[in-house]
Amino acid sequence: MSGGDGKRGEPRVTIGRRDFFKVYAAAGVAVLEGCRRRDQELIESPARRSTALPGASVWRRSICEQCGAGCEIEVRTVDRLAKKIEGLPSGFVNAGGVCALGHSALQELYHPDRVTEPMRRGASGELEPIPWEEALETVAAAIAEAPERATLVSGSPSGPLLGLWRRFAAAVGASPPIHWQPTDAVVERAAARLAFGESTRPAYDLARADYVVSVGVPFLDRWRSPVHFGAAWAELTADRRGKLVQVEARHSLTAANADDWLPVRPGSEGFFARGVAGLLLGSGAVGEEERAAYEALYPEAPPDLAATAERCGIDAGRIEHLAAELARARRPLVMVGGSALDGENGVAASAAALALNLLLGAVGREGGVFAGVDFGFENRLAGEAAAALPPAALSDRLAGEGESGVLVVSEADPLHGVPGLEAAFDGAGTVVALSAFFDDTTSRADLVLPVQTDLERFQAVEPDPVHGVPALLIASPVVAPRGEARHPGDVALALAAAAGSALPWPGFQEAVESALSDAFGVTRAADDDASDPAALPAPLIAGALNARQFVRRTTDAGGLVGTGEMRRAPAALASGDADEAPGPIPDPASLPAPSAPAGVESFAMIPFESPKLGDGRGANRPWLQELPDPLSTVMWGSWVEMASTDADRLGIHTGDIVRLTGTAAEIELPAIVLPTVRPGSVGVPVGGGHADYGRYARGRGVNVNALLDPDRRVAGAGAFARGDVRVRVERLRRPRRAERPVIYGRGLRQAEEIPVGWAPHDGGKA
Amino acid sequence: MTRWGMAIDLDRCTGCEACVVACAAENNIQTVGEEQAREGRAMHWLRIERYYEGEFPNVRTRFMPVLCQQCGAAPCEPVCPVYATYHNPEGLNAMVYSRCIGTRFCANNCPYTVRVFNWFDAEFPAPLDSQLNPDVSVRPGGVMEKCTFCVQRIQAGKDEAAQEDREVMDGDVKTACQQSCPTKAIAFGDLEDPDSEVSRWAESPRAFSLLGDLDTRPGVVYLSGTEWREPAE
Repeated sequence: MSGGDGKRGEPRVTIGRRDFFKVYAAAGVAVLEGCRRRDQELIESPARRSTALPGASVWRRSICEQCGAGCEIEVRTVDRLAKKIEGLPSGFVNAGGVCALGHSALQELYHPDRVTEPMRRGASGELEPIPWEEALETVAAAIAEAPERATLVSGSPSGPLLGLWRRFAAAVGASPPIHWQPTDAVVERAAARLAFGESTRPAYDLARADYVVSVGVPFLDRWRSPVHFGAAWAELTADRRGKLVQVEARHSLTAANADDWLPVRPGSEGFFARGVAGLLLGSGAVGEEERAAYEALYPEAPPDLAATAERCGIDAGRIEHLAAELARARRPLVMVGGSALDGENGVAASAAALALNLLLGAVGREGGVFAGVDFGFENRLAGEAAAALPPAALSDRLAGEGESGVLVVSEADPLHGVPGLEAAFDGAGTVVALSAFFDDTTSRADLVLPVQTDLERFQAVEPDPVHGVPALLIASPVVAPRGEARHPGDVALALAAAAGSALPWPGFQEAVESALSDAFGVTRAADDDASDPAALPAPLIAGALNARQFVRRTTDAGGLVGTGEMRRAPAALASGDADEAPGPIPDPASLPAPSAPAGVESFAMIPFESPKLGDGRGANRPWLQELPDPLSTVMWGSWVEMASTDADRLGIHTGDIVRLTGTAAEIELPAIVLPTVRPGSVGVPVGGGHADYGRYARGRGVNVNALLDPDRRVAGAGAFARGDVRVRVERLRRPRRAERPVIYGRGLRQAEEIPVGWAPHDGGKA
Repeated sequence: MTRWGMAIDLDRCTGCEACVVACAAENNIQTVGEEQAREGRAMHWLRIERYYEGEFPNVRTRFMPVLCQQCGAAPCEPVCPVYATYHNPEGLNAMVYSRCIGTRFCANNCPYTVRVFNWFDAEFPAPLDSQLNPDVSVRPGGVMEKCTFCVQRIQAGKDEAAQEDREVMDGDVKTACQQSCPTKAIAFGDLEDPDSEVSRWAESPRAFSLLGDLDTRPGVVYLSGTEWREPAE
């Protein structure tokens, strides 16, 4: 290849024939290297290559990290730019599907308001760019000055990256990191500990069950992997083979798709589970062993049908019908999550629902519940470092000390999630944010370190449990990082080195590869001793000659994926050791009902994650903001869902601006009146009302978290309680033009409510 | 001759809207912002209609993805004064953007309300424009647009088959919405091929046409095990 003069002063590149072939061959190698696929399908699939394109398409495998589900994706790149995300057909979790949030990762990557360089707040109070090295030295010095007063918050899902943050905290002498994770993840572990004796999140074999009672789990909305559970639901209900009953106060997307919806009173889910247990125990369908296992947990007699119906606000006949169908089913399954577990009694309620699986013999059998096991790569990277702390530890820690030291927040936005933390943040010594965006937390930070988004970075992910098969998924970057963004794991390692506590790896990728290598060694040494907890299942290393080859093979193959044989029941149950069996646990039926304040009419507020915005992460993507919520059809804002009967009584019409008043705050937002809302309750989506987070999210909608009381906790879990909140509702005014909710609904021109006009399909011939 | 068609199994559709975003990503569909969306100018080529039946607590919710039905006897075609929308030999209601003068007669005549109009030029603030699909033109202001059945993917499938000196086979072409669907509720292919997946779905006793009594002869088939037909009077 030789350079020459083109137009005046501009270099021109001319390519000779030999140069052309060299470049062509090199590009071919690069393309094949970039694919790093598990299946040949990636390049064999049609529609993937087109001679008509100006730039060749290269499809690269990656992992969606928009939530903890671990969906495997293929990303189409053209001229080194990412163009489209699709599900990897052989994806361990998603089998080819992608959700709306997953698609929108492209708009996160190419967002016009990304943080692309390190910044420090200068004397003027504005953030100003600084070099990376200076930023790292500043943070490291602040940590080294008083490591015991340093607080670290990580929003990474459980897995290798969180393990690295734990190791980092231990290395620099700080307290363990606070794991900023969804309430479900924390409460499920605590509940499983009570019900099953092992604190791993339960995994559900939804697809192979034949009768599923979902207590509050919004698995088609946004919970673990809506893609996986959507497919499993389709399998469950195909040809009316199985049945889904949703027990949930709010009419979620999952409730909308369920065969039956039981709109129980908010906060009564645990009582409901105990009541159903009473009916099952009385039905004669429960074996002696199952009965004994259950009664070891709940020695007290369960509530009777009338009391259950009264407390749950559900017709007794419907509860009786459900229990009878459960007893008759061949492979019944009870799932729990979502709104059932985010009240103060969430752990007890969830445990009661999980324990129904004991009665039904559903633990550890096909179509039942399993332990959500993984390959332990979080602990492998963490080494001896202590476990991460639950989210509520943040406010305890910030409130408990005088002046806090440095506060490092990585990929989390606690100021949006919890009210009342602002003052504590202001009181902290130095606030450092590792973030790709100026979100509510980052925009108040003293130092901002830009991090890479999913498609820009090396990924090692242990997916949230879905069907109980463990996996470690690994992927290489798909595109070059924007600006100076770095991998958060690399930043942690650089900080540790700058603080004089260097860890033995230069980067996150090397750390993961080292953990893989160690795992190989341990597994090889353990030989067939399956009892060594640090060993991987032996089949995973079969055929590998040495650690180096194993690491190479694993990273090339996109990680380690277990098999169905690696599923297991929770350990205490599987061992069959009576000494390990859990004893009596809190009975939700003996706990008082959430009380309503006397004298004023109040509503039970149900905060929920909408399928599109989730906890708010999706709020900065225009695709998602302009996506109608599937149930309310609202775009670009927040809303409050009200029952028709309540709205009529209060004179509220759809679109009217109403005020919701909690104990410490109030919010104003438009009402959407729906026939699906349980009277006496209101539903409000979380995820709106960001103080910052880019041009598409800033000031858009309302942050319902403002109404939460940060001092309320889910007992026994260390999570903030979002449920059981009472609010007053009052109509303020008809909306001004700019306040009107943006309600989608083009409708069919010929249809009033249901599209009418049916005709046998004629093949569409003209 | 091929007749491209789609079948949508409403019994498998959860209304999650992954398809809607997949469609936007594939086809460079602009977002218009809150103000314009409030005026009813959102540009989705594919939408999920939601219907409620009954009252609490015995209320049912149903979802129906609605997109251009690629009608065999399309009401939108004869009203275009400049032939910007026409019927191609493979059954697609094709749009020639550069020919469209924006009378919007076609949208007015579409009973499915699936045509959308670019009231303004599309804006993709840099570097959001890096994501744009190079296979699909970005439409300027004043032009009507709608679902194309991912015609660029159809073309790519044909190119691929031609390179391999064979006919396009069933499954060669997947639309963006179909590919994204977590529950695999969408089938796409040649309705003239009796062995294609879409033809087999169309033969189902659950199959029906949307607003079929208008005799538009849609290329989209819906499947539902529950009644969506007009109640008998």
